[in-house]
Amino acid sequence: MVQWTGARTLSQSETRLATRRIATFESNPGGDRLLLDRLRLGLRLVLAGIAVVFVGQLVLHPREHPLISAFQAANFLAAAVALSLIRDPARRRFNLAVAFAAYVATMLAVGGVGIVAQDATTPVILLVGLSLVTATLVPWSPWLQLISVVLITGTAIWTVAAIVDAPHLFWLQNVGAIAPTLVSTVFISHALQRQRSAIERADRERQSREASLREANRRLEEEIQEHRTTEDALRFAMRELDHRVKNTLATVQSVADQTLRSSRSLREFGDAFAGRIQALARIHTALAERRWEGLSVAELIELVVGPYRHHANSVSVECDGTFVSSELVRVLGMTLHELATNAAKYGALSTKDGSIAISSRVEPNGAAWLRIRWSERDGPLVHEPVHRGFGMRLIEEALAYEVGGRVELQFPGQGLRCAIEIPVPTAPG
Amino acid sequence: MSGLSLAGVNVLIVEDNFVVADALRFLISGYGGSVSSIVPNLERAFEALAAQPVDIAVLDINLNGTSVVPFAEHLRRHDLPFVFLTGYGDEQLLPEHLRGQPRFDKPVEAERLIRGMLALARQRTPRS
Repeated sequence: MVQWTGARTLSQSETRLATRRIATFESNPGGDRLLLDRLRLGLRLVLAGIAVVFVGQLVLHPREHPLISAFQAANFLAAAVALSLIRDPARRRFNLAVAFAAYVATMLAVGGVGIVAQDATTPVILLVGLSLVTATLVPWSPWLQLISVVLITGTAIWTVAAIVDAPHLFWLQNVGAIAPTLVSTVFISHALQRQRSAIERADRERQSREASLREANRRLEEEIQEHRTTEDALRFAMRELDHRVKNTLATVQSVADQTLRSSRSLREFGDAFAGRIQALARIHTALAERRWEGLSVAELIELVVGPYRHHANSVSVECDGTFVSSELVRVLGMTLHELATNAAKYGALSTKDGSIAISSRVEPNGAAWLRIRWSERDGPLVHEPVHRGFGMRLIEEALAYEVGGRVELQFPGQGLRCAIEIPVPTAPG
Repeated sequence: MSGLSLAGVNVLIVEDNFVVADALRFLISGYGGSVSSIVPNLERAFEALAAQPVDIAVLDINLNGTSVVPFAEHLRRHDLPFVFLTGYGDEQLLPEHLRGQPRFDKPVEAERLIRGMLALARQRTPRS
């Protein structure tokens, strides 16, 4: 009992845990956190790049055009503001828009610096680097990625066209700027797509695993419940059985006492006692075979009176199909056994020609009554006994005592007659 | 009979099984007791108590599925002594305040039962 309870508590807490885990997953998809991390990393790289270029220019060309420093300072500020704005992974669209704006600002600033400085090489290299950073780090949508490529390419062309005198270098620089961007964009976009679907797949798998875990858990609990019900039923049956055994032993002891009191010799005791116990045993076997649901009156008569039949016609039975409960079977069976053993000793079954006719039917008489008629004939002359032993007492009193029945014994010369009437709760089936 | 005698003691037997009740009746008569009645259920028990003198009662706890407790409590209220007969597990039917009452397991050991009854009967009507 204690173990079962323990298992039940454990399984309930596991179910709670599983539910919470799934709830967390649904409200906070891994993709949003991933996007934010990538966006912030990209912006940090941009900030670092601007800082390096800015410091390099101060060292190499301290007397540079002040517009260049202004462009770079503005660019740095824009990237830093963007970085501080994107913090909440749940604001996916906002994060994307802010970061994208920061990247566009950086492209324009790099282009502007190139024009002012009359230098094409540096911006092209920076733009290539920038395009790699944005394309590899950020899981843009395909449209944003396309816009990004167009902007980078356009800026590069515009920058180069504005400053380069030698037309034969124009295509070289641009191809150098655009090709890696396009290649990396397509490649990385594909990789990111795969990564995202892998995450989604893992998520689905986990959900289905957890669902099947919950299902298994539910089945286990059902099984435990079933076991517990069976166990209770078994325990109940055991108790019932113990109870019955004790009652049976008490009956056996009482039968022994009473048989002993009404026996004149040890042999008489032995025969009578064995007969009574065997009758009880046969009744028990028949009831057990029918799971204690009762017997038909015909079966009961055959069971108890049958063994005393000395030829085929000595006992005739005429019954309707009435069923009697196991409680009634015991006391009615003992009564019939006493009638049979009495007939075998002193009545119709003690001679070759004697016979017994037994009939039984339920007659609705207000409430339903089971009426059994027992008539002996062609036996020895009978007369009413002066002394009534245990057997006679049992015949006359037991049914009245236990189930409120009525038993009437008559001793006309030609053979004993017995009329039994028992109230039965149900009509014949 | 070991010098035990229930002479002059009126006994009421409440037991649902006729054979057991019948044997008890003979057992108690054998020790000189006078069995005022054997009854199979509560209704008949109350009737018998009203109709006949009873000095002590022998109660089967489980009367074909019905508990004998209401009758036992009635006896206790009227200060009438009684003993229980029990099958396996029947004592669970008894409320706490009745568990101290003498109980005898079925099948009954005759002498123990008679001794137990005598002790109760003497307590009630001390004789010198």
